[in-house]
Amino acid sequence: MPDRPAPHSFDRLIQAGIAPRRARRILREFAEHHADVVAECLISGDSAPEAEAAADARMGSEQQLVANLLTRPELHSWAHRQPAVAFALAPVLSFALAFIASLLALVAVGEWRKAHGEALNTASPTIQWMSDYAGVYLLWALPLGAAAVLAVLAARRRETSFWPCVGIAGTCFVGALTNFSLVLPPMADPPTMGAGIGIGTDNLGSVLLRAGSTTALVLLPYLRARRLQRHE
Amino acid sequence: MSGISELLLLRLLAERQMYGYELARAIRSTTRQAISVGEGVLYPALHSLERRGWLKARRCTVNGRTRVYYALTSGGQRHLKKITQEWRRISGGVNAALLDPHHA
Repeated sequence: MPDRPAPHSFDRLIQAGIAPRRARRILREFAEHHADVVAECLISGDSAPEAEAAADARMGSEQQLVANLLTRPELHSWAHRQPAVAFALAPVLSFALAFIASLLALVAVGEWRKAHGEALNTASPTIQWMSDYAGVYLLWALPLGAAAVLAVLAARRRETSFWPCVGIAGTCFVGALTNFSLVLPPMADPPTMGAGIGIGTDNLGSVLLRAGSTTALVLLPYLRARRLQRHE
Repeated sequence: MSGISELLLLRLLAERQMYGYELARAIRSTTRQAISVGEGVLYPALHSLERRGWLKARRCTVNGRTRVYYALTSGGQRHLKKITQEWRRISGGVNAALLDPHHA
């Protein structure tokens, strides 16, 4: 097959909205089929070049396959048909759910340790761990991670940049609205944990700074990757 | 022609699961070489049928080669029954017209 392997075929399929996994699978199946046809021709007595030529003539080019695939809208992924939902709304909701799930997990860890006899005070390793890492995780790592996952998925799909950019900015902004506090003895005994999503006029500057810095950390590499992809 | 390839693919896969190369050969032999579904049409059709839930795909390694086997789902069986009846109705009508085009 003269135009095999053709990374352009893969790019064309995913740019047209076919999910990367399906695009990869179709091209692999086509290549395996080509190898089967070549083997069949060799068994029937053709030389290797004749078998290759016969297989190419019988199967057509990968470009023809791609053209046929592009005429089938049912193969387009859900994300391609609903980019605003997939790349802007879903990531923000997913982040909010991950934030709530993380809080519930922290509460569950605390309750489990307490049930197993650990005194939850300043000397408690669980409280020390939460005090050291939970805030960083919830307020920084989680929004950054959610936005980064979105950027990677959108870049892999060669998706037009508008909705992913909205999603990255939205996720980082909602991430910047989150707060988390762990009040330890002697201020509170037993230790208390508080968290939420909201904004106040007193902390507007820090919210915008956090939103801007996390957005820039994800958006700039994403836009650079997209630019490189366009020039490939 | 896409309706015919869909009908043939579902009919052949109702017998047993097959991979793409096997299907292409089976279509040629069962139609006595009258119909040949080109590979450029075969895979889009298979993936379309899978996407609509009428086929399921399973990856298997046979003699060191990886194959994607397709099998009919229960929804595919129902759809096959429906399009088979439709095809019989249409082909019967066409045959009748070919035999006696003046009868109206």
